[in-house]
Amino acid sequence: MTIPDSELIARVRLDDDRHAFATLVRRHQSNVRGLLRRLTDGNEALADDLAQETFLKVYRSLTSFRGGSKFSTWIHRIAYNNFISYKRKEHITEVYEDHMAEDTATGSDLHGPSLQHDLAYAMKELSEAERTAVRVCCQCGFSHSEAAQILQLPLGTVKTNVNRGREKLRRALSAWQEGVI
Amino acid sequence: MNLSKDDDWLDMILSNQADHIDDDGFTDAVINRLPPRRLRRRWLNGVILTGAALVSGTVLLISLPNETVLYTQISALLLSQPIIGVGVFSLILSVVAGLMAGWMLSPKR
Repeated sequence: MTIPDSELIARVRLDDDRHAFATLVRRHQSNVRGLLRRLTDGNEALADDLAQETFLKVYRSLTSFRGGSKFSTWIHRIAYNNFISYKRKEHITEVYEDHMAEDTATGSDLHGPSLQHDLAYAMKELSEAERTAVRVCCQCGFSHSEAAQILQLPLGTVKTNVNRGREKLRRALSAWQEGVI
Repeated sequence: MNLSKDDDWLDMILSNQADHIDDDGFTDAVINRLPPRRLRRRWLNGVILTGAALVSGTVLLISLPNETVLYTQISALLLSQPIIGVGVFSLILSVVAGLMAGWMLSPKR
């Protein structure tokens, strides 16, 4: 039987139960690392460093988690804030082009590397806000309201960014549509 | 152009990258970086709980109007049969302590 997150959180809070915290990390690591890999354009080493920092912050802040949002949403918000802090600290304003080729090369075989390559470059044409919204909603599978909590933006702004981003992607990748459907 | 078909097509491409990432020692690395374990202070929780229960139980007893059955019964018991009186009083304190413990240990707190 799967122990719910709330029970594991209570164990960490009360008894500093490391096993319970490890279960939480194991349960959420894939999604958090996935989000950070997308935000860092496939820089796995950097994404994993940021993911580790994220979970350390989660551990330190667990007492302040009040359950107002889903635990997974809360963790992803910390991960996103961590990424933004890193970017500010490093004065990064553009995507990490060196890792884009690597990202596309490790993409799924279903559509082949060429489509992944075109997708990566089409993503680059999006504004940063659109790209982030598309990544969180369309690639990581969060709802618009969850994305609004993670990105700390109004719901309407998230919806607009997602729609604009999707429209740009649709136009940029239209040549591929015939071959896929 | 069929919008729904467009959306399906785009969703298929975008969600295609959402593969599961194997742990591969990630969790262990996080756990190894956690600060040293907090000193367990369960005894302190017990002392605080007992003290709070004693205080709140006494306040409860004092605040009861003199004519209430509970007050008169407990007073009479304490005076005439101290052992049973203390037992009943302890029972009330236990109930109060139990309620407080439930509140303190609630995961939603």
